[in-house]
Amino acid sequence: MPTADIERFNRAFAAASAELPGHGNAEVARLREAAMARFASTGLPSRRDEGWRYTDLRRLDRLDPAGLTGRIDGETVAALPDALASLDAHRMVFVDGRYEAALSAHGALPAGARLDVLSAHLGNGCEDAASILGTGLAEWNGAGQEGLAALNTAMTRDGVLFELPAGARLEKPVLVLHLLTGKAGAVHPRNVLRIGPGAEADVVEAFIGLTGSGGWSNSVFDGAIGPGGALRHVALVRQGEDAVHTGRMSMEVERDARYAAQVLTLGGRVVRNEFVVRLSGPGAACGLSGGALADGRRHVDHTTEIAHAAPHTESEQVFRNVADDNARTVFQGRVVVERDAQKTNARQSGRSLLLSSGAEAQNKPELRIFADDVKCSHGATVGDLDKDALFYLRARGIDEAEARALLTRAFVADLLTLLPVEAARTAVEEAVDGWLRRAVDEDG
Amino acid sequence: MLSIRDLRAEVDGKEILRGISLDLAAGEVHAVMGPNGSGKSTLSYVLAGRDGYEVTGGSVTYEGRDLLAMEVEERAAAGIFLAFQYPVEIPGVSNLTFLKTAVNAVKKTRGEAELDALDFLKLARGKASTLEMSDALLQRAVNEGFSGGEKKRNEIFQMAMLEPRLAILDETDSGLDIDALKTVADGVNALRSPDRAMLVITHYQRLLDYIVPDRVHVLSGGRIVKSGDAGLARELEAQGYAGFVGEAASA
Ligand SMILES: Nc1ncnc2c1ncn2[C@@H]1O[C@H](COP(=O)(O)OP(=O)(O)OP(=O)(O)O)[C@@H](O)[C@H]1O
Ligand SMILES: [Mg+2]
Repeated sequence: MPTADIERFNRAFAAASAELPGHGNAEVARLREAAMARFASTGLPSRRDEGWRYTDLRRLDRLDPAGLTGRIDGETVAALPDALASLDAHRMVFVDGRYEAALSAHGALPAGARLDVLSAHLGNGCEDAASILGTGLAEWNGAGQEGLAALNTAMTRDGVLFELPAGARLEKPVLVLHLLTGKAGAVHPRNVLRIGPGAEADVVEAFIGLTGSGGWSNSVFDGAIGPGGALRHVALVRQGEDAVHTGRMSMEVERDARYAAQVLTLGGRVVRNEFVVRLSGPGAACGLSGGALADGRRHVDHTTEIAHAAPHTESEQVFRNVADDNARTVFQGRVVVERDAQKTNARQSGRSLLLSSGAEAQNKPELRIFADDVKCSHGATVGDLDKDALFYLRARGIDEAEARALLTRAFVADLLTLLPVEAARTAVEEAVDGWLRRAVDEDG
Repeated sequence: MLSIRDLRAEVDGKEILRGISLDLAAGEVHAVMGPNGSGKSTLSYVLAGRDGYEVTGGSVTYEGRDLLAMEVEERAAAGIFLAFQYPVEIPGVSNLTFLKTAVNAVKKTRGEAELDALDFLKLARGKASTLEMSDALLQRAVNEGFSGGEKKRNEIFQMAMLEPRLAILDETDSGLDIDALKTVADGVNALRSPDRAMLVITHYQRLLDYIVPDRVHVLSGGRIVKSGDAGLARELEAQGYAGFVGEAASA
């Protein structure tokens, strides 16, 4: 990245650092400075970086790296998808990166559990800044270039800190809503999770760009699941027309723990979602799934890196991408089986559907296996809608647009089957059907 | 109701239908028989409007309209139903969702009120039980993993739900056991009425014992080489096609 561009970010950091949460806390300031220095050494990822061959962030060159600012009013709430707005959940709402108490509904938690605003843990006298802004997996270099996560560490304003003590279970999901209303600027939401041994939770994250919003959201979701614990996680990304969204979800999964996560991207101009998972104890398992529904000139990239670092670990990945018009989708799934991770089982399936001749899809599965007693499989396909099926539906009176929508929905049906958080089903189905209707209406 | 005049069609540049003429009046059932590869399915696909079949000559008039100018779904909404020789499997779409979409799409085009979920389910369950289709088959993805006979039964079930005016049954009897054949034939006969017509493509006399046709046509090499009454089917069963195909060549 040219020095002038790094300078742009340095200036934005310098301008913001006096008012970023924790600016009075020397430890926080030190961590932020260090992160900014790491960012400056790499800059933004470019297509020359490993793992970034298919995704171009040059749109960010024209973006003001200063914070996004928007206003909150009745419209903000009205613009929320119904099923999300009415989801019975511990709800934490952030508007343009800032916590909005009036829109949130924290609710009662089990003893010893915490669902806090992250910035509250960065102030003077707070002790756990290092673990919140720490450089654990979030900046782990497994997936290639870690500049984005470093920039998040340096510039983050807020997010949630969610902790569950050993054995605790939540009845309701935690819903973290990140709303973008502004047209320019950047936000760096950061959610930190610590799921104790044997504890279980459902977390739904939604990144919603209100109509006409743009800018850049660069988020980190960083956590660890203790032995025997379980985290079920859904991330719904529906940013505005012109928005850039980069998100990293990193999870350390300890002995016999389970991480089930699904990311769905339905909006945003350029979107890159990364999963970085480390199965660090025997018996750890993860199931990742994801779907991109992209139309217009959108670009959506879902990239995963799963490290099997212990024996008897298991991973499964199911990704389904749909590209219409001139959209492009990318799925890159990498599985690394370390030398000691014998008896590992890793499965991966990436399929892409092209709905128009101008659409493009990349599928890149990658296995790096350093152990000898493992079972790994992967399958990848790119295809069009089945013409025979289309004719069959039309021969029964279903018009072409609706037939295409039905078959497209069928293509992503696997994802709905795998949806980790049952409570989010209506919201997810609403979002998927909304996308299909819109795509169909525009074509028809 | 249906008038086919000197219809010619090709697939991938190869002429398959080489001048077919046939008139089907409301209330009638015609059977089409003929050797493998003679163009029976091709005729049914051309009538249903499948892509890839290029009509190179002739005309088809359906209830006074130029059928060949209509879109596939328009034809269906106008009452044409093709029971496929090879029903298509559609993973991820449940049979019920599919049928509800189809029934309501057709109703909408006809300007009729759409069925709500409950009314639809009642109707579907009723028709399914007459055809001895299990609830499990209704819930499963369209034709996915269905046995050959189950697929054929599903076609007739769809027909019963859509109540077409012109039904084209392409070898709906193939692959059915004897009891199923009877059930399916009953389903077809239940739809027979003075304002409906049917074109029944089959290789076997047995189906025609149940669904007695008004006319039988023998298709060979893309032409109708002989037409007659129900007796013609029995003749064919006894003698095979050889004689008729020969007649065509010398005609
Ligand atoms: N896509 C295609 N390309 C080339 N030839 C084709 C194509 N589709 C059909 N045909 C040919 O057209 C001819 C007629 O086929 P059709 O399926 O109509 O026969 P049919 O009378 O229904 O036979 P069957 O009794 O076996 O069902 C066959 O010779 C077949 O091979
Ligand atoms: Mg045939």
